[in-house]
Amino acid sequence: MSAALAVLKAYLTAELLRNRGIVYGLLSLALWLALFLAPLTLFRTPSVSPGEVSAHALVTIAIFLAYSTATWDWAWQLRWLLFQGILEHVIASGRSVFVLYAGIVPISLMWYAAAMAVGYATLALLVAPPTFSYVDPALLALGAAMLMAVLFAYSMLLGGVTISTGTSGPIMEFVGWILPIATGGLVPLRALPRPVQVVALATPFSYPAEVLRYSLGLSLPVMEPGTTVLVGLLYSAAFLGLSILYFKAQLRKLLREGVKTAWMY
Amino acid sequence: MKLVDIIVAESRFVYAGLFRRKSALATTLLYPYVITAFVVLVGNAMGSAAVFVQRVGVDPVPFFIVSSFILMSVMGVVDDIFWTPLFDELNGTLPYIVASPVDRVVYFLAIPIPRLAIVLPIGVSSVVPVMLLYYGVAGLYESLAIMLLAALAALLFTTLAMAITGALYMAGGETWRSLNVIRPLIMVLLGAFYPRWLMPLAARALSWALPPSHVIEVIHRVLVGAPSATQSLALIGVATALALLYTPLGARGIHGWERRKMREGVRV
Repeated sequence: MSAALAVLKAYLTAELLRNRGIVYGLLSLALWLALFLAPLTLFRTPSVSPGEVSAHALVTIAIFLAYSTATWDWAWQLRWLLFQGILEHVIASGRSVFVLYAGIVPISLMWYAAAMAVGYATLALLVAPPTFSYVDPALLALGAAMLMAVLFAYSMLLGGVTISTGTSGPIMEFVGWILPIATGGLVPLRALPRPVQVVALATPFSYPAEVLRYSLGLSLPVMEPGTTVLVGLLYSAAFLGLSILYFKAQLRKLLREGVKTAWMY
Repeated sequence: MKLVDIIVAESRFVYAGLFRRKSALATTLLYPYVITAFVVLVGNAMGSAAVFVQRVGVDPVPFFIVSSFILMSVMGVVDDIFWTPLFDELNGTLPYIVASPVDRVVYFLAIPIPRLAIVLPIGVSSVVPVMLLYYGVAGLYESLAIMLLAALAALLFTTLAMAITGALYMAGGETWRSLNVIRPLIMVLLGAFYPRWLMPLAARALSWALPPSHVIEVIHRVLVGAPSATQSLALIGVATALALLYTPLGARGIHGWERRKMREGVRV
């Protein structure tokens, strides 16, 4: 606990307060969102209200930001620790690497909440305030928990691959884009072609997005809603367990074979 | 050192990095498709491609593949002007750069030239196949015109990018964070993803100050099939005049940053 608090304090001071990172980061995010969201307004039909368009866009932003958090806060953290020569110290200290995450995750969630507020404000300015006609809070919470489990598992997989191969930044950036698109994270699965739906449903990533959209009344899942929730829960739990096992195996491999190198970004 | 020598040296550095980092090259080539898929899929889920055609005058797929190509080309060619000082400082090579006899302004002017080569593979792998698919042989000619215009847009951005880099680095402090704000702002105002003629007046006025935005408007007019030769030449003329106008500012910015580094030293 004391190690987790020390990490939390260090990140709060270094990342948020000393570097004013959150201010610049959120400004940057709002501008990138404006770049990619502004052209979406050119597709809006008169029968769809601007608020409805914003609601869809807000869920897209929420899922995309969750993937970004998993990629750049959680998986990238391992690469950063490796390249700064800190990972060796963490391993030598005898503490689990996961102690660091107890400090990082609260910062990530603060970041995420602030980024969502910026996303909401950007949409309200560019299109209209998002409007949701129906919300099931329990299902929404379940969807959010499933998404968090799946993305933590994904970051462990990505982090495991990174520390064992020295994978470079562009690959992580690309995976962070392609995965949510291909698995129905950014668009309701119903709107995608049948072969993509089949592939997406074979991965654990599609279920949390389907449950989240259903809980907000934005779209119906491809499978029956109850089945989607049940399969999603089981799949995300299994995926999380397996990815943690994989990550630990990569750490052991790192200890055996030494550290890989890569380009600076 | 002459400009030609610097370009040759810079080319060796760029091409070695480009071909060594095959994963980075592959993702650069795939990005136009990923961005197009994102905008078109999300756009269709929220509305209709037919409405987009009514508003803009062109199918969204060729429009966004060209927009993404422009974004990747402009960033691929000019981005290193923004990042080079920071990259060298982090790598510990900046003291050698500052101490070298090369004129810093000439060096910065040389940076985009070898990087123009990246426009060709991105264009050939994205714009050419999509335009061929949509418009046949006519699409191939349009693709070549679009690739040439995108290279021109990137080149005409050089002097303004130098001015921005100089100003930011002279201001010091949070430079990479400031860059992360400036870059998307510029990308929004360039109008690659949102045609300039549909922008609100204030955004359009700011966009006019950016030389590449005029060339990008020419590309969009080629896409919607309404390119008037006089108007296109006038827009390219304005872009060139603006780029020349920014030259003294760019030179002053780079010299100012250099003087500051000489005065204060480099942190390594």
